[in-house]
Amino acid sequence: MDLQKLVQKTRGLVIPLVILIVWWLATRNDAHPSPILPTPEKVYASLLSLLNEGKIAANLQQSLAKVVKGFLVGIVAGFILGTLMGLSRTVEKLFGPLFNAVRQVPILGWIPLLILWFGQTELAKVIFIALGALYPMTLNTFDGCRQLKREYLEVAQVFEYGRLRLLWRFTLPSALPAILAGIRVSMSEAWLLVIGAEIFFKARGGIGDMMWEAKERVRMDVVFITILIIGLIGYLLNHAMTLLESRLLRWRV
Amino acid sequence: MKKQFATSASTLFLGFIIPTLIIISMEIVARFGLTTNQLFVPPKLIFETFSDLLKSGDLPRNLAISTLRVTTGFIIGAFAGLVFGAAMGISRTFEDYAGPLFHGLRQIPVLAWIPLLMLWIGIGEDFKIWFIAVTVFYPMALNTSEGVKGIPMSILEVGHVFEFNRLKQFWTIILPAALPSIFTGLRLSLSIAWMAVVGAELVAASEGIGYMMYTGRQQFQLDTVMVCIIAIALAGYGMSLVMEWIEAFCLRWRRTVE
Repeated sequence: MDLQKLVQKTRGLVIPLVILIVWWLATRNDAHPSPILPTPEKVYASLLSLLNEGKIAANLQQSLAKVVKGFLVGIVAGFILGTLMGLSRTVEKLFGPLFNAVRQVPILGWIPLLILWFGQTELAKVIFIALGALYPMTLNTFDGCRQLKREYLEVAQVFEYGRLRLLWRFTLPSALPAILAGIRVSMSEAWLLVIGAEIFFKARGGIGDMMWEAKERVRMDVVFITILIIGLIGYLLNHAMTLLESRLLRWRV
Repeated sequence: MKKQFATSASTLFLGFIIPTLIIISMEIVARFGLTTNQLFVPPKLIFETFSDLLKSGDLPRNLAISTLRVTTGFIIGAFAGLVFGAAMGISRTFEDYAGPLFHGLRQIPVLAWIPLLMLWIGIGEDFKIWFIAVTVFYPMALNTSEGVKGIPMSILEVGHVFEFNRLKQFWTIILPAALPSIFTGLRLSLSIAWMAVVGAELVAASEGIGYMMYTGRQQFQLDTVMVCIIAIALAGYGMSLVMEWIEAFCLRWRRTVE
């Protein structure tokens, strides 16, 4: 069993290693290094120097600040909207179609409008990220609230629970898995959109802007590094959310 | 996930209340000159711009260009994702080799590929098509491989009993059984493709609906931007409806489609 696992793990390394070797061989003997394919050594050296200068940390901090703001606004708004639509059929009928219509607009399509309304400001970016986080959060919360089992409703009726108490005791706990899944999806959406915000809003600062600037100066090594870091942070954020999920859902059998 | 909210006649009526109220109040604000803010657009102006742009042919032309890009990129990406995902689902060995790299690359938010692709491919038509194809590839591959892996053993055994060869097993058993999740992937990919084309056209294009928005914004034509937003939403919705029809047609043998 362990040997099989080991074989599996090694197999996964084969293709990345082959790519690395081909890359190294292809760029090894260049008298005139190609601007769009730096050597692996160059990428590694740039990574070290960027880390040393603290450029990566500083830009990441700016991006994460935007993500947190947009994410929080988005999930709170999505939670409220989703709960209201989930609890009341009337609210659902009033806002559901509008919500679905607005959702048809590809999220990046809002950028020109947001720029016109709010300018190239921090506020515009946060609203943009919040909007992206709002959709999955609303849908998941809505679905979760609707999953309340009939038996629980009957129990609540027997004990003559008020609406708030029913919400707090039964609806929200039974919706929790869906809500947490919504939070996780919203987080990865927020991370995607902060990169978008930094590329499409001509903004200074942030890891997306660092990547864009490197593109403008044809610094392929920095582009590679920023892509890797963006992927890594995205993975870590997702992982953190998954941990949070399993921790908060421990009470479930 | 397909029908998020109930849709019936009464629902439809209630659903129109708030949009109508918004439009009426916007129109009132405009009529009585309650605001001099040029960032405020009366609904009437949006409607006029819409018909102007329709008549001049600007809107249909740019929308057609974007739709063509979406379609091309979508077909390439979806096909590649389908083949790759099916291979990962069918062959354990293939998954061992390619899976970790795939899941690693999947962590990278799709928009982060834009600068790299622009440097490697340039800012021409190829860039847009490739970018759309890349964004479509991941959800397609993931859904296909999960669909294939989720096929119950008992169904696969039928193929062994009848001694189908590999190709026949794939066409008559694996593909139909994985079709529902393949369509989930297709629907998801299609909406991502629309997002991708707007993104690509916002950064590098001289035509297309995203470019039209971009110039509209630069010239402070809020009405044009609004019209583009509505047009993209309608086009995207139209295409997803077509996809749902295809899905219903292909899955008509299932007694219940969700």
